[in-house]
Amino acid sequence: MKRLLLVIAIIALYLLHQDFWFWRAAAPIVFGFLPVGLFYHVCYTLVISALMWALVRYAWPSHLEGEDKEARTD
Amino acid sequence: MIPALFVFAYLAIVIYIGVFAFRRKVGEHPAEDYFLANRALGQFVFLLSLFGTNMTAFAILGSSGHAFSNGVVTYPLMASSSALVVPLSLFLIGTRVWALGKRYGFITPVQMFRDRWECGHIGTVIRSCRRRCSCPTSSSA
Repeated sequence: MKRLLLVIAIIALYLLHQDFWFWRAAAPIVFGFLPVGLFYHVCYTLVISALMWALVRYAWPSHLEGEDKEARTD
Repeated sequence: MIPALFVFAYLAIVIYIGVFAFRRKVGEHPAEDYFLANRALGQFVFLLSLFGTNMTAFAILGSSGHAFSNGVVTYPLMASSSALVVPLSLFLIGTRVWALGKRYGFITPVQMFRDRWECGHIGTVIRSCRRRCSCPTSSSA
């Protein structure tokens, strides 16, 4: 269930990056200096950071860390 | 004069690091020691390494030029898309490649592909593809 939610979150964030709604919009100006499209992507980047934190926290492939070197070819 | 001083100071630091690394005891796998820091980079150094890898000529010069011509859309085009794609690629692909490299002693991705497909010529194909991919980056710089 956790994994499914994370996959849905990744797909949703990928779709949210296809920003055709603010792409050519300069107004409104957020906080008096940020064009709305730029503000949207600043928020988007922060959400991505949260997603990456969740991935590392809940879906880190820790089984890969324990693999030994017995199969080394050198 | 001042820029030259900075360049010489930088070179002196690089030489010092080289001498320091040369004097260190060589481990069981000297090539891994040299190229991959014995697969034991700390988080901070790994972060700096990752940042340096992504700060290509395209990122520094190309994005500046793009922003000058097109405005703030450069941020979603480069920064916020990279914020999704780069860490996700590292998470999904990089961890697996790292584990395979550690397990089988691969140092470069080409070694991994050669071993996986049991084909020596695949290195030439990958090299050609990478050279082709780097052309737009070089021209934008």
